Amino acid sequence: MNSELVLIGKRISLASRSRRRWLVVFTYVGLAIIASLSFRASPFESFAVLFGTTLFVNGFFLGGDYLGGLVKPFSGKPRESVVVMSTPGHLLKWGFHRASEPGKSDVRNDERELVQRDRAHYKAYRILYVAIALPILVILDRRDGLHMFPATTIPLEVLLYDFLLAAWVLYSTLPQAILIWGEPDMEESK
Amino acid sequence: MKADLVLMGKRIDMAPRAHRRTLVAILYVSLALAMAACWFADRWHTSAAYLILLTIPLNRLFLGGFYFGGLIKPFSGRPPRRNTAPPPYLLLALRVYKPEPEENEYRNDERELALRNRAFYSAYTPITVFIALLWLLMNFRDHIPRLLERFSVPIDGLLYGLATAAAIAAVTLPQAILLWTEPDIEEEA
Repeated sequence: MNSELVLIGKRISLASRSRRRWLVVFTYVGLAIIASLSFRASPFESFAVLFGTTLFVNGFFLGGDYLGGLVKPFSGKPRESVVVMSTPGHLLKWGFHRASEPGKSDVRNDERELVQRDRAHYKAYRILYVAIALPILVILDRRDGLHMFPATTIPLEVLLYDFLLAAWVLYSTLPQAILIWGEPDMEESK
Repeated sequence: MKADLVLMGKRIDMAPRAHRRTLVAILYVSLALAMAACWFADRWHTSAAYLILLTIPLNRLFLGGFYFGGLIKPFSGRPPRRNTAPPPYLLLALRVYKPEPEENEYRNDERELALRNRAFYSAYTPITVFIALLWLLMNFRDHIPRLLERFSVPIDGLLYGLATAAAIAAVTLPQAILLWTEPDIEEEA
């Protein structure tokens, strides 16, 4: 895991666990705000906004999928073209870029990191596989008129859209967040 | 992971990987056939719930993992709940009851924990794809229905079927990956 991020042209040390935890909290608060705003738009617009935001968050803060962010790519294969080659100029100007040029150690996970990656996915899976239960309940409710959700004022289809989209965002970010949250304080790089 | 299954009082050797792969293939083909049969029976109206419930005996008897029993030790590493009552007559007659398990039957060692976590890592992406497909299908149904006009299957039924398949996959896929990938187990001397 990287111990620093470059943000607005400034190096931010994230060696201490408390700082990384704050990053996770801010990231999810930000995602929740963006999601609640985007759910007012059409489904495709909200999907585009949340998909783009998730790519940005993973590419620059959390990592995991792309070469960028704190966590190394899970697959051990960087998808540089998405993050680095297509980083818009104004983002580079604002300093959204990596701390340094990537070396092999930035990409390849060692034994310990692979173990942590797998454990984080185990935890995330167990939290999120229940997410599949809600669509079944909503479809049943709609089909059979069971009125299982009497308190909801939002139409069930809309609720399910938003829920599935939120679940997808969580699926894309949760293993990284678990890793960042659980990793103890790191030694500062000299 | 256990090297044999006891079914109807008969030991089935599951040490060779080929046997375990055959078991996984048979289970998923059976589930697919059951889904197809349920579609023709009642368009998954009531039967889909039973299909999801079917994963409980499948896990208990064959796969394990989420429940005690089957080939894979419980993922949680916890012993099964104790039941002070004697086993029911039906289970005695079928010889599928189990005596009190020993600790090594439910406690995962370091290697097994690593394998378990790796299996969940591999199963994670397919479940994400299921969620994305559900969302996409709902979106098409409500906003671009002409894209789905070609299908003779009602879209609500398709959605329900996909959600059912996702639920079944979510509780069976990690075990299936473990059984599929684990190499031949050495026979006990």
